[in-house]
Amino acid sequence: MKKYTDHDLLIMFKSIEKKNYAFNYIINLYQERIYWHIRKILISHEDSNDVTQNTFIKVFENLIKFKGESKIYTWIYKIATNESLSFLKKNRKYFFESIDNVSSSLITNLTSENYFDGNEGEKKLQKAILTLPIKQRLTFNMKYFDNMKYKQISQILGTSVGALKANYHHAKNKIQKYLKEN
Amino acid sequence: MKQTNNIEQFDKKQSFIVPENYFSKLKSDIQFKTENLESKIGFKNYLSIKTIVPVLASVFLLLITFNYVKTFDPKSDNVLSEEIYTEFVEFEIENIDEEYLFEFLPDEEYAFSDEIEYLIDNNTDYDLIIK
Repeated sequence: MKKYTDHDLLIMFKSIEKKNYAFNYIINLYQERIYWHIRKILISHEDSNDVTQNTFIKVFENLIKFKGESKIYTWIYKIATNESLSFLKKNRKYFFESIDNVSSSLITNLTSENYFDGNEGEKKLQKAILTLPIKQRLTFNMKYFDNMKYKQISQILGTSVGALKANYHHAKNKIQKYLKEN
Repeated sequence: MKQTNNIEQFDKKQSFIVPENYFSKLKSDIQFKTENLESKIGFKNYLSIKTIVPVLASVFLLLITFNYVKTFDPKSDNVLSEEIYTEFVEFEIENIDEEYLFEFLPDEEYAFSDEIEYLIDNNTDYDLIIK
């Protein structure tokens, strides 16, 4: 597959003839990474599938307005994160319930999930991650599993690099504590 | 994998899995949805001000035309045109040279009129002429 820069893709997307080509190229390039990012937040495959599709529809609708202030990938990641958080908010049991309190239902999803291939240790790690407050969980997932740089995570979550470092540190400690106790 | 409490020693492999061929299906699902979206956007564009204004103007013009056709009395115009035509013919007949009209008669008729003139000049019986 020919390599295109973000700039090339944006120009192609603005032309009527090449719009679909550019969009398909973006799907090919990012769909897996975006799906896995969403999956780590929502756990359930079906929910992640819906949210991934919604994310790319949002990308399709809004890419024309994208000014290239960040990389397309970072921008899509941001949309995916927001869509996932909105999904969690919509699916709360109670209207005023904090998004951080959805962990119990996510842990239930994890135990009943057919598409989980990890061993007991990995399941325990996932459960530990799910006990974290949402921002720490997002930071931990992006840093630990996706090896993203703090600067990039900062652009996605709109949090300072310093705060992210602190989040990651606390997240790591909490997980290790959970693993020791359970 | 070794059971450990240190997260750095965990294998970072993906523990979640997806159904077979999921990502190719995902791609076609997204493409299908965006194609539908484009046709919806196209329909929305039809409803934009740029389209609505000319459409409304056309409808307005059609209504005016329809109203004019409905209230139009063809008799009044026919009477008028007949009057004008009669006046014109009368004027032409009064002023036209007979010789000029002969130009437009077919040869036979013209010959026939010559015959009649000859018969009249020679006091021929009129009944015979008519026959």
